[in-house]
Amino acid sequence: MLLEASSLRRTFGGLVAVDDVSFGVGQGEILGMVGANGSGKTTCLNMLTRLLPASGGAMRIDGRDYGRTPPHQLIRQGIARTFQNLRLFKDLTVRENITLGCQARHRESEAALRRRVDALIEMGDLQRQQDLLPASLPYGTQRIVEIARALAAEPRLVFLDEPFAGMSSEEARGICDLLLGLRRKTGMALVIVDHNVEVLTGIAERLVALAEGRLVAEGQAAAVLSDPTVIRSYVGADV
Amino acid sequence: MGAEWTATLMLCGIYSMTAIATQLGMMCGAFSLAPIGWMAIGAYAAALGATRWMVGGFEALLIALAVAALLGPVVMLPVRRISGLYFALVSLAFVLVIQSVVSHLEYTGGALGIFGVPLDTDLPVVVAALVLSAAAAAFLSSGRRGRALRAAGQDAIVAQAMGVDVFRLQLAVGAVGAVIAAASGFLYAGYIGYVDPTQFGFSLVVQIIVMVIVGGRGSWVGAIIGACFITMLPLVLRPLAEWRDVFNGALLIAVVLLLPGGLVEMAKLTLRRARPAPAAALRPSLANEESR
Repeated sequence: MLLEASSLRRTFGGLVAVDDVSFGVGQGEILGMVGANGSGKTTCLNMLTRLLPASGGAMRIDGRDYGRTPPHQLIRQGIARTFQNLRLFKDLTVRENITLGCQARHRESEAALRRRVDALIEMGDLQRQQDLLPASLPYGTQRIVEIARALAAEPRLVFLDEPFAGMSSEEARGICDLLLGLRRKTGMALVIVDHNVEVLTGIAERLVALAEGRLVAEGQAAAVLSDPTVIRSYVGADV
Repeated sequence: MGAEWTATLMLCGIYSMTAIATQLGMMCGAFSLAPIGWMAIGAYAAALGATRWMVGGFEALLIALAVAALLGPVVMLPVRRISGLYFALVSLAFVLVIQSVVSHLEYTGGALGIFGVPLDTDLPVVVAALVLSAAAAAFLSSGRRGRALRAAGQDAIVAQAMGVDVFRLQLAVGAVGAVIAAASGFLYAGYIGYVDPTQFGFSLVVQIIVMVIVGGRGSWVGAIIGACFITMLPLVLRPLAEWRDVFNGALLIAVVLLLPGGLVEMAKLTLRRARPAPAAALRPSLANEESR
């Protein structure tokens, strides 16, 4: 297993946001994470990327515990992420945003970084927008920039928090094609959290479902989505 | 050049250094007012060096800079737990504690301060110090460091996820800012010839904030422009000299409402009109242009 999360737990005062969540991600695997609002998906991601300390449990990459590693060091271990709400640096151009994504992992000259970023800009078809500020770009393009920034460090594992939010089906499929192409090329693993179950099942090889902070189902998409607990957590009643 | 203009230019340079130190903190997401406290420490080092320690000006300067370099990061430590306005208030407390300590200690002359500081500061020295300070700011805000600095200032959480050690960066900026501000205080004492606690109080805090905001947030060039603008203004508007704080407050509100990017943004807009370019591609501040 590339990533192992064991008995993750997070409390906020008396509220248990995530409780006893365990799952793993294999090398090059695409794992989808589903669940209703407030089910603890983003809290899980925040713990696994060390932006939020876990109240309990363990997380390992390549068998090594990284539960006490500072968040800024994860990129050097090959772990990158995007955020639920677009969080591009608004005063940095598209090129600078992407460069920032790779400069911590690749300690090399500005010229070498520029070549690396050139390739990502070409991959995302961002040549015409590379010197623009993010605010001047359409939403879908900003999402592509954010994904390109996360991929810039050539990570082994990328957490994508609602990458398809606010996108049309066509745009979402475009992102899926991009991610699948990159996975083929680099062998990276992806953990994708999203509400767009249709798109998610099209790209993820396996799903985990959370409800009220607990992992309630895990496995093939069809089995997880037909699980009564998952359905109940989504619609609030038995169907 | 008349004596009045020479004196004003020296003050422009000295305040520019303090404004640069304050601006650097804001650029990396640590809105620290501590540079005003470090300015006081630099000024008192000059005064104590000449009147109590009986050491040369250079030795006193070295002592002030060493203390600032060592303790600048320490004053920045609370940024690990608090940020934004709360951190600004903590750093303001540092300024007020320094002011309170020097005004109560007999050793530092108490409320009367210390007279007899040698008038060693002249325009070439101020210009050289300002050039060095600007070079340090340019070094910190360009290339790899500059991207990390601006990212930390805009969104510390995302910057960390991108591999930026935000806290270490803020400590480094705390050290550099403290050294620049202490040097500016040292020059100030050598310019004015005496130090007293009222010189480094809340009024100066407001003045430096106005300089930074009016010049343009996120740009060390803006800090220099703002400092020069605010320092020179009394020459042009002599009748308002007694109303300086009121005028500064009104100017601050006007700039925030009408020109959020400050004077540096206005200069950029003027340049843009003079040389047409794809509008959307332009950045909000000249500092960003420089970092390329």
